[in-house]
Amino acid sequence: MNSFDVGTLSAWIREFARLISDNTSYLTELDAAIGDADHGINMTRGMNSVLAKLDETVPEDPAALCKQTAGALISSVGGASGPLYGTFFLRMAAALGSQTSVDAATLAAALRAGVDGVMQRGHAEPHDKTMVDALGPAVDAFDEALSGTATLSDALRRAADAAAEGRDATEGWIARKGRASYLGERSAGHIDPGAASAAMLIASLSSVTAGG
Amino acid sequence: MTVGLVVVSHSRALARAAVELAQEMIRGQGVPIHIAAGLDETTFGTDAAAIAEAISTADQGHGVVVLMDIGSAVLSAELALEFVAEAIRDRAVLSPAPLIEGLVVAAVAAAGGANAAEVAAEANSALAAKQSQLGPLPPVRSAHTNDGPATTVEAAVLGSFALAPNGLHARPAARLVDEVRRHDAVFEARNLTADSAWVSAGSLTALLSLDARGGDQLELRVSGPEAATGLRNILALARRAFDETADR
Repeated sequence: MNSFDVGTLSAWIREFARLISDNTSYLTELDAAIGDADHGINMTRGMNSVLAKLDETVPEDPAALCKQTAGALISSVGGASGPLYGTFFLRMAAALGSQTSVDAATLAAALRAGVDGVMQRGHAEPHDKTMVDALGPAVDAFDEALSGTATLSDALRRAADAAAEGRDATEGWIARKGRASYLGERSAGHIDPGAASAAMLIASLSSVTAGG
Repeated sequence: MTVGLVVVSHSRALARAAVELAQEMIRGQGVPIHIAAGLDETTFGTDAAAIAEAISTADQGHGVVVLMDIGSAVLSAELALEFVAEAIRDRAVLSPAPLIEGLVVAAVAAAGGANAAEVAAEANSALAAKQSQLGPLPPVRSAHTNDGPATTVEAAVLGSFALAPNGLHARPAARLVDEVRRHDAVFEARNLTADSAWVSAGSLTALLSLDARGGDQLELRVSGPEAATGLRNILALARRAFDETADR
């Protein structure tokens, strides 16, 4: 597989929804430790709304898919993940333009634009213990793999590994953003729920291309 | 001719009640106040698309001031600005004021015909009245049990206020220095909006170096025997716009 069309990207969104739904209580438990115990519930409600829209309207190109995903998340998640994931997909849509087939370089640029959007919207930097700590390392690893000889699916697997490592690293840190930051030092010792769901976003992208 | 207001909250019930409270202050005066709150009647959450719609509806050509509760309300409101028409976005202000205090004050200011910047500035200083009424908080005692007895940190009291449109120019700064010198306390100030460093509030040149303009939030940190009364008097002075009467 050298490129993505709207069908592959739709499969990514469906796989992400499945992972979120399977891990609702895990995400909520993480959030109960350092937040307000709603991340799993909010994301599941959001992704259910994304799926409903996807069943109803088949997007004509990748950008349209990202846009309708953003719209559904923005209006149904409720918590901070709504505008954050919403911004991620809106920036991706803008970067994808009207292309019907997305090659590795375009995908890398779109993911980068999405991550930059999340950082800007959340005023978050690396090590703030947020979803950026999974997404940032993922796009860095993806770019690095693509600059070498890796295939698209290899590069995405490395991105997913980097996202998982980034997620795990948040466990030792003190939160500097969001409700977890109210806890100060007590936020250390727990994985950030946003980083955990963000790692699922990249893992699901990798898994739809696995073996391709 | 009226600035519109938008209330963004996680809770629809809370937003409705807040608007009722504000309406009581401006009975009969048509300030457009719209809410974008909750995902539905009972589900907590914020929705950028709904906020964008509320902003567009509240805008009557004279700008909108958006008041928000916490967390995602702020993120969603920022995102919402991307969805509204450029002209509406350019005259909309997202207010950092506390929701209830800010909304009540903003409604009164808007009913009085203030422009969006003035309404936002009023909302921003809404907490000052309560802070001045209640005075400083008790000193913070550090509770490290493993390094000897608890120690009392030298109590510093904090307060902040938004500057009137003319900013902290020479006359109000001089008036501030004058007030500082009447008290047995150490006064420091910083421009919270510009995230500046602390400077001595007893020095005119130091205060002017803050480059504090209209609408900027000035924060004061005061310690010493007369810290509490000193801070109270300066907040009162700020509320009187440093006794500047003309050129507002």
